[in-house]
Amino acid sequence: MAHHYSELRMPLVHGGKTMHDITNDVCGSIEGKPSMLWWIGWMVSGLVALMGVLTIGFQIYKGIGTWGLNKTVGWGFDITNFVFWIGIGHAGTLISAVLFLFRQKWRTSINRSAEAMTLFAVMCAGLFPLIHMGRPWIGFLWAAPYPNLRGPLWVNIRSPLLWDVFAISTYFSISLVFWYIGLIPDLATVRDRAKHWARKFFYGTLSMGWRGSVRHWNHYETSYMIFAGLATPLVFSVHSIVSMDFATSVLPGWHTTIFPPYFVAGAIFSGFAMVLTLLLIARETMNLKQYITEDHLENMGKVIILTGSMVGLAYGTEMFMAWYSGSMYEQYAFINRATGPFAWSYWIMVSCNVISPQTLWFRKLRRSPIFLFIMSIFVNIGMWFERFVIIVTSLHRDYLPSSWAHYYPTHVEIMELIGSFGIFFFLFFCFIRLLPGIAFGEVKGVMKMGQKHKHEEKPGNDQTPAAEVSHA
Amino acid sequence: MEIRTDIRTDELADMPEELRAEMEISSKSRRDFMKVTGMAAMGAVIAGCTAQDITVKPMLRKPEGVTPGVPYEYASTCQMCSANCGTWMKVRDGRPMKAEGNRDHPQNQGGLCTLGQAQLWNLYNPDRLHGPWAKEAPAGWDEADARQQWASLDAAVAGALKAGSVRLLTGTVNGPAARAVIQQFCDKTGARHVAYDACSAWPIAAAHRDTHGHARIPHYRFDNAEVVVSFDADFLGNWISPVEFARQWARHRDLRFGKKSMSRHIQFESRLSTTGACADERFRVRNAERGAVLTDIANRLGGSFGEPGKHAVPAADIERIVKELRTAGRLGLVVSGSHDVKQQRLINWINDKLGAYGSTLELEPYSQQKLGNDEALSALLKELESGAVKTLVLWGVNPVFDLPNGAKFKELLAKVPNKIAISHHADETASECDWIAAEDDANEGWNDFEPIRGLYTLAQPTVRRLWDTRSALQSLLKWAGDNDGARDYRAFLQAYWEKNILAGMAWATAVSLGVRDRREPAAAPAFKGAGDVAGVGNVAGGDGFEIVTFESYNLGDGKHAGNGWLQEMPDPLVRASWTNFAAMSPITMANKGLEEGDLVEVKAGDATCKAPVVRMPGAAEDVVVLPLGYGRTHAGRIVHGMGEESDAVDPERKSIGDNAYPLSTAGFGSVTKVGSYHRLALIQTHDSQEGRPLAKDTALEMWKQDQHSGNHHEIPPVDVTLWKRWEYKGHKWGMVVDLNLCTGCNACMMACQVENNVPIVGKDEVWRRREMHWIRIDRYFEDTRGDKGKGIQDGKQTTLENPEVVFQPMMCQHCENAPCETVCPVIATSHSDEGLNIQTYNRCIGTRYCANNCPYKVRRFNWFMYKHRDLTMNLVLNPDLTIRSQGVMEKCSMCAQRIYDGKRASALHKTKPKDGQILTACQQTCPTQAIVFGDQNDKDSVVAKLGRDPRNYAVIAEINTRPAVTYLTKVRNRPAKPHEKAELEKPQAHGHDGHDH
Repeated sequence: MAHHYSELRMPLVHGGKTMHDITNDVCGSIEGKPSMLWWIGWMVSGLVALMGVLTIGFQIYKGIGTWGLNKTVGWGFDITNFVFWIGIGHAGTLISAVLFLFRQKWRTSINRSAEAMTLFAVMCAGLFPLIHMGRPWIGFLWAAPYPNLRGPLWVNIRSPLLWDVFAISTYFSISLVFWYIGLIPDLATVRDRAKHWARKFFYGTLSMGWRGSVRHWNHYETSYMIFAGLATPLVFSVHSIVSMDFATSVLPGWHTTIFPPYFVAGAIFSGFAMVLTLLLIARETMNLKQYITEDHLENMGKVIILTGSMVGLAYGTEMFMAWYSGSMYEQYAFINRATGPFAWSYWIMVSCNVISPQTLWFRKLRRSPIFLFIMSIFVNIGMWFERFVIIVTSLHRDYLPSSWAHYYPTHVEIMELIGSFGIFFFLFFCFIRLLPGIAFGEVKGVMKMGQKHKHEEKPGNDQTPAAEVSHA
Repeated sequence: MEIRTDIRTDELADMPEELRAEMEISSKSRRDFMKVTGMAAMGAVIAGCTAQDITVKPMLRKPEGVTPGVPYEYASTCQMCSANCGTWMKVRDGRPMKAEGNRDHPQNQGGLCTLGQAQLWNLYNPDRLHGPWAKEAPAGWDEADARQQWASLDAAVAGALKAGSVRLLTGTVNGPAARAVIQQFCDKTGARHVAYDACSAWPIAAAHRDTHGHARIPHYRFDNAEVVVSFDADFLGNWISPVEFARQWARHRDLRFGKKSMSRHIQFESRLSTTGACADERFRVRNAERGAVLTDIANRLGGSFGEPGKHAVPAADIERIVKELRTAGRLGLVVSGSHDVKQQRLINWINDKLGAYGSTLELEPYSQQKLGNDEALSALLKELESGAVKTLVLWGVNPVFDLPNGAKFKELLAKVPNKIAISHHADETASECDWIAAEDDANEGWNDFEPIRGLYTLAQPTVRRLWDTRSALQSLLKWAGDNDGARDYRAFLQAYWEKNILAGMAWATAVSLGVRDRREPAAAPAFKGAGDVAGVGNVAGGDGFEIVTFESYNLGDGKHAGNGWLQEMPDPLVRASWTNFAAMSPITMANKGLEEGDLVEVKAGDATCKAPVVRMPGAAEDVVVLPLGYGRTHAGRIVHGMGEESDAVDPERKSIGDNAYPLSTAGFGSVTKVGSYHRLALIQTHDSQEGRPLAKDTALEMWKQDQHSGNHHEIPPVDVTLWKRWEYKGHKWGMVVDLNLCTGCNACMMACQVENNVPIVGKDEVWRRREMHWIRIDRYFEDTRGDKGKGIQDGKQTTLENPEVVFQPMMCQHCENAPCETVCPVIATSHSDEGLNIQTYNRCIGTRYCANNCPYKVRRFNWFMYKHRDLTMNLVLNPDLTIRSQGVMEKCSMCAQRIYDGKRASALHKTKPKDGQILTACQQTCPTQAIVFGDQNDKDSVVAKLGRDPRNYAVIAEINTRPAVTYLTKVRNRPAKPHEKAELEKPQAHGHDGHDH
């Protein structure tokens, strides 16, 4: 039927799928028995997550001293991981909200998992500020402005760390609600297909009585739009605020006004890289090549090359400003980055973040899943090192050379970093097993057959989402 | 203090539990509680002064004049080294908590060194012997109580002493009553007394015996000296009486309060010492060449001591220095730490030639701070070898460890039939003896001293004995058969003093002052000629490295190796802690292919010492510098556990470092790399200021022309604010540190550590750069060519040959615009209305953001729970301060507790604290009074005046932190260098540091 439409616009779903095929494809993966690959992934990531949690318990019991930090370098892996994961958490909302507002229909097959990734990344991110506190058992409470009986004991509204608390909790709640609203129609489908009473109960509860009436769809579309509108500024504000942890300090290398846009670009860059990593895995292992097409990959590649170049520009600007400022402290901080004891991390960062994405100017490479996968790993590594470079190289040699010190991370820090990946992937594996990994309600909306149907004005067909529900 | 023997109490050691128990019992009435604790506290204080076997019971009424919780100060004498400075022991509720210099003491005038400040660790050290010790315990020993054990020890000793041919080997004993006790012991037993000092000054005394007829160490008067030329005499470090000398020296270095001139200080030395680091000019001279330089100078002063050997100092410099000495005349002073008696004779000749005797050094009254006699010791060793000694009594010495031939001594000791030690510890020597009469800590017993002839001082107990120990003097009296004296040594001492020393002063007055100064002018012996100085100008030859050993700045001669505070103190110059080291010039290191952290073996003959290589720019070439005092194997758990935060003691770790004493007389030896050293605990790894204006300096010549010299701000701070500045209506506390006076001695660090309950963290943690010191002394090397240390890189070799050194005490700067305050999410750090940056430990959640944002890096984080492994050590904790828990940030509070104390005391009289009434711990102990604290709002206060001094500046003022702590530029009394002159010619605004002066 596709020949009725513009041949210039490539179809978003390949393989000539019918709507029923789509429902079966997506729901099938959570209804049948999980594959061996899923079991392995789930178990391995679960064990790694468990290792991470136990390490965290040990660290909280013994003290921050189990990390390699010192009087000069007060933050190391902890805040590096935090900023890294927050950055990862940016792509999901960007894909769901910003691309939604810009009517980028290709987003539909990836937005659900991207959003889930966002939530899990923000969870991992939130973990690190909690455990990096010397006394997390009271810190998690005291960092919140709650009414108390200890006189006017209040949080410090001037502290960027407090802004972080607000920014991240807001971002997490909005993202969660936005993601959940998008899930409701799909959950209802799963509910309707469920045979076992427990599944019926579980998905029935989650789908909140969705019946697919036009009224429901009307409310759904409106609220989805509103939340997209609410989430969009957050994509830009969260990382701007995170960057202010550094930008508002007096430390050479941190005290930089370029940080908010630089961090946002970096966050989108790293977020897209991580989405790419996950989707390429999902695409291969779960047979989703018809949904996540090479066009998707190419679009993502384009975003990466744009944001990667922005990040590169920011590195250059920083260097220029250090020289132009005339401040010897500022100049030394950047010379030290590129030539000091941590120069290796700086050059890893530059090669991974600036040089490697430039290969994506070639269309062939943008459409090569294997190349993109390797590239996305490079970007992930590079972006982790970007945060490491900013935090550690600025701290370890600041104003007074008498206090200059080196930083040697301990195995506890490394295990917690690996553990956070375990937690992230474990949650992701749980997600693709329990919830529809692709927003099939929305995918159906961007299928050419759906549009044709609308144009041919043949209502009552079981191919509309609402009819689909009633039919099942 | 007045002694009231009618007051009784329970055991002091039980005090804390006692207090807790009482609190529970009498919670019904606060008044009751106060009564009981008051009695207990007073009783405990007094009980310390009573003899051992008086039974004590709780009092029923609070003694007049004693309030629980209020500290009292008792005058006493520091016994950490033989300088014997006067102290005031701060005692609270029956336990001493802090040693401070006695401000009324003519010798140290309130100052105290690192060792003196750290003495309370020795008192509370749980590794001390808790009672008498027997190598082969007689039957029933373990079941016996302490009294029975002492009785059987005394009986055994009495038997041993009857064997005849008794020798008593001690360190310096200069107290008149103490010497009377020794005399009594010797008379009774026929013993001969031999005294020696591990780090001896005997050559000085021996030289004076030859040149002046009396084996005396002169009392040096650096306060009279306009030109000081020192040959390896570390008189600001630990030479004879360092606190006194530092204060004297500082008198002529102080450019505050309108003074315009300062003394000249020239140092010739082989290693870089703190004294050399503070000198105006410094020459690197190997020990072997020292005699040649001395001869050269003496010859140019008019002597004829033969042709001097070839040495490294340019003739023009020698000529210049000789001219300066000649001009100074009797205001000149030449000192030397040399162990060569001929060189010391030459020194005496030079001083006599200058007319310095009676002016800058005095033979009457003379010093009695090092009474050790090396010749008597050699004689004793010969006697031991011949087997003539039947009974050897050792008191307070550790020859097995600290003699160059300690191993030999151990063999000789084994051959002595009866050996008795009086010691605090079962140390290397005592543990080889048959018996150890466990000795009181210095703070537990009565004693007297005479550090300078005619200057008598008392030491009084400030705590009841913690364990079943006995003062050495009591032991000696007991063995001399004087049971009365042995039972109540105070009575013996008082009787002796009343008869011989007090001369009309009441005993109680003497006790409360701690000092009786009866120094009188007397005819000093005259110079009789230099005597035998043949060949003094020859340069000793030798292969390989010249081995230079020095008394460690931290551990004394090794006696204090079990003191964790001292072990963690960094060496002032190489900045290493918890380790000995083989320091050498970076050029030598480069030539020999050695790098910092290489483990080397220094070998001379059979003697070896393994140590990690550290850089010591300014050391002479081909010289390896080894500190003495490390390598103790019997110094308690500190040396086995490296101070680590666990009870786990590494059995492989026998000691901290290797003993360098066997090499102390070697002269020359080889240095071989044998491996690499694991985790070299350096507190500072970067030596250069990188051209940053942090510790500023200038030359006197420049400063005379322009008082802002060296203190021109290239970038004045821009003070832009949206808010109205806070108006400090009451006090505004501030501090000014004079870099010109700081000698880098670390005393402030130790005073702060003791005062503020700052924990030690151990070697591995220091290696991780987690030391907790609230105040530190930054040490920067500057190229004498003027390029501020360019080319020095972390851990890399440097071209610095003879750097100029600047010390900069760095503590919380209490910034008005504090970067730490804005970033704390929970307002755990905030600004007080008196200008202090306050840390609220209870509120802190430990994000460490404040530490990251501190440009001065003075904030310290509790990485772990730093608790004392033994609860006895908790007695040293200052109850005025919270103990910080794991995960909490801490830092200098400018001794907030002392400020509150001072304000409270003044409030009683409805006044404000007077300037100088409140002293911070660092300020109080500073031997040179480089630190001044006070109210900046009081325009007449010293701090406010110094704030207006043209030398005043704030560190990194351009970022507008507006610190309350400011510094005064260091001024070096040497000709200006070309680049410094160039600075003077540049017209520059006197950008000040933004203070409202």
